[in-house]
Parts: sequence; C-alpha cells; structure tokens
Amino acid sequence: MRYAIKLQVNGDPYEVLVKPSTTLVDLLRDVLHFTGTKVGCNMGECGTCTVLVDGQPATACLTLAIQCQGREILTIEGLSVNGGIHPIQKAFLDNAAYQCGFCTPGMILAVKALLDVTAQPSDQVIKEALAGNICRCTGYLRILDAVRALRSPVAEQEGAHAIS
Amino acid sequence: MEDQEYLIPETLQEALKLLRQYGERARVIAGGTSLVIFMKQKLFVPRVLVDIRRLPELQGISYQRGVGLDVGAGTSLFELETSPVVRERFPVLASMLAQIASPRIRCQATVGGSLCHGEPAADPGPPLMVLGATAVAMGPKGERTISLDSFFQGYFQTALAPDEILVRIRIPDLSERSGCAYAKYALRKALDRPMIGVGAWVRLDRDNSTCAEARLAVGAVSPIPVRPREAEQSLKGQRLGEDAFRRAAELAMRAVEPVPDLHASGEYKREMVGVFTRRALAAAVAAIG
Repeated sequence: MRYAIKLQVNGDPYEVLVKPSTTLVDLLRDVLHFTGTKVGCNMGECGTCTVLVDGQPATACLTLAIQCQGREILTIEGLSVNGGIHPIQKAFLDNAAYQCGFCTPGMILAVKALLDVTAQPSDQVIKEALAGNICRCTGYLRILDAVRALRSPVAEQEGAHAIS
Repeated sequence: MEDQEYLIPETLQEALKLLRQYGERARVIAGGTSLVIFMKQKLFVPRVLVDIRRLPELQGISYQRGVGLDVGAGTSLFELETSPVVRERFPVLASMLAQIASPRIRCQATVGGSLCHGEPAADPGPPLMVLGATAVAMGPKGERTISLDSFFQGYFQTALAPDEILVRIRIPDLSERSGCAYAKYALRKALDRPMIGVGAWVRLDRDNSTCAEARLAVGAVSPIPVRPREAEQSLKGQRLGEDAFRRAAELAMRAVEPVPDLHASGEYKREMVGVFTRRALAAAVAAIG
C-alpha cells in the first residue's frame, strides 16, 4: 500500500505518496532531493542523518516517513539565512570543525536542537547533546570549540572564571 | 513489502479492534526505533503496522505523593527523563534514561516500546523491577495489571498477549528510608547497551542503620532480568556496608548464568555482576533521602 502524507520540509509544504517502510531519510534524499542529510550506518547509531522533527532531533533513518504526517522537518538545507550561512555553520567554519564533512549536517542540526532550548550549555551539556553523533576524522575537540563559540558572552565569562 | 499496511487508530479501543481483526499479521508500532531496525534487517516484517504512538490513553506523566508515578506507555524516554517530577522524586530513573542510546533516539523511543520489545540488553527493566513497577495492559477482556517481575518472559518475549496493548506503567512512590540506584556496565558512554545493568533498592529499618528489605535485579546477562533472591535475603537485618554488599554480590554472581558474547566471556561477566551489584547497593544506600 501507498499512503498520501502531508508534511513541511524547511518551511515548504509537500504532499507525497509513501510506503509504510519508507524512512524519512529515503523520502528526503531520494524523493525530495534534500541530499544534505547523509546516510551512514542506516541503523540509528552514527547520527549523520539527524534532522529536526517539530524542533526535536530525530534519526531520519529510523523514522518512518508516514510517522511524519503533519510534522515540520528541518534539514541542513533549511538553515540558510537569506541565502547566507547560519551562525552555527559559520562557527563550524571558523573553528575548522569538519574535515570530510559527512557528519557535519547531523552535528549542526544536533547543535541547533541544543541551542534552541539551552542558550548557554556547559561543556558537559554540549557533549551529552552530541553523544551519538559520530565523527571519524575531525575529532571532537574542534566541534566542541565551535559550539563553545556559540555560547552567549555571559556563559563565556562564567566558563573563564570557573577555569581560573 | 508492497502490500504492507499502516493503520493509525485514534483511540485505544479502535487499536484493540484492529489487533483482533488482523490477528498475527498485525504488530503495534510506537517510536519505531527498534522495530524499524528489525524491518530493515528483514528479521521481522509485520504485514500490518498499527501506530499507537499518539493514542491519548497512552500519554501523560502524573505523580501522587504516597501513591507514585503513572506513566503513559507512549511517553518518550526523553520526556520521562526530563520530567521535573521524575528528576525530583525518581532521580534513579532520570539518570538511567540519560544513559540510553542518544538524545535523538530518546526523543523517538517510548517507555512502553522499550519494555515491550523485550530486548535482553536494555536498561529500564532492572530499575523498574526493583522499584516494584507494574505494567497496565488493555485487551479484549479489559484491563490487566502485570508485575514487572513477570513481564519479561524470554528473549524478546513478554507477558503481553498478541491482542493486548501496554497502556501505562505504574511505579509506587519510594517509601521513607528507602533508596534506589542503577549501575550500568557498558564500554561506551553513549549508544551502548548494557553488558550488565544492576538495579538495587534498599529500605532501612526504623533504627536507620540496618536493612529492612532489599531488592536486586540483574539485567542483560541472560534473556530476562534476574532477581537474585538469596542475595536480597542476605541483606535483611544487616548493617549496610562493604561486608554486606560483598556477601550479596557473591550470591548474585551465583544466581546468574551469563551468556558469553563477543564482548566478554561468561566468567568475566559473572565477575562484573559482583562488582556492579556492590556499586548499585552502595549507590542505593547513598540515595536514601
């Protein structure tokens, strides 16, 4: 059976026919051509397919497309602001927080989900929010640096004070 | 599976009717984080999926002092983990949940789905068992309450009948002078199943120093979590310190028959059951409020 579902992707409405077994990541990449979302393990373990569903991080390879009826999906393509890059993307660039870039879309969306609810996350909170987003080449320290740079100035000062 | 069907009932009664109607061909799906993997691997591909994730009867977390916590089976692990009342009254559950998979999986996966999957290497079973939790299931004959002690029946098997749906999980309030803890042994901090997961609950006598009652549950070493009854009994009337923990740990080691796997031999796991039983007991005593 195929089912018609309606959903929003990056603010635009779509109506598509899906099989029950079609995953969100397959819908995004193969049907709607949002190929910024990557498929790594396809088993929910690597985090590179992370997108936001109604603002919450989701593993697009383990989410059935049909479960996204009526939901709002945000992919890396939807982050751009007036054609330019998003501040999180800029922070990743400034801190050289990527090499091959395969994990980057998932990392950036996981960071967005975190910063949307926690403006000044501690290092521990950042690490917990990114747990399960796996990077095999950049190393996590530069990614951590990028997120630290996005903390509000108040948090920076507190952090500096705590270290000294 | 071209002919796979996906049904989204609006009420629990409607869902139960669909399960009766489709019988063995149907399977409920909630968060899907476990079932979708099974479907991808062709291990198990139900012909009919009945989506119960958003059934109103499966939602909500409520707490009543002296009674306990009532959790809808459709609650996401993340929702339970971050619930203020859970953090305040059942910190053991909040910290156990925070150790499951990753934040994004916890946003999808549900409490009920995690239990009904019957995966042997899962975290929630042992702490819920020692807390005395019960599962409330609804079926064609009405509601039925199942103690978590008898909920797990075997490898990916539970006490639920094919036409029943787990609706709620009830966790009695922690009594005075009692504490509960969960000690997990995993090789990684995130996205790792427990190699061993020990839940411990202790209640002190009125003298505040000897143990009135203790419960232990050892998960992940066998198809279902094990309650090492002799180890529990050994703690009764004892002063809760290293000596008592050590004796209980030795009895717990004898009560399990760990399955060897690629991570470790049965012998090593048995040794670690001892270590983590001691740690869980010490943490449970430290948690007494």
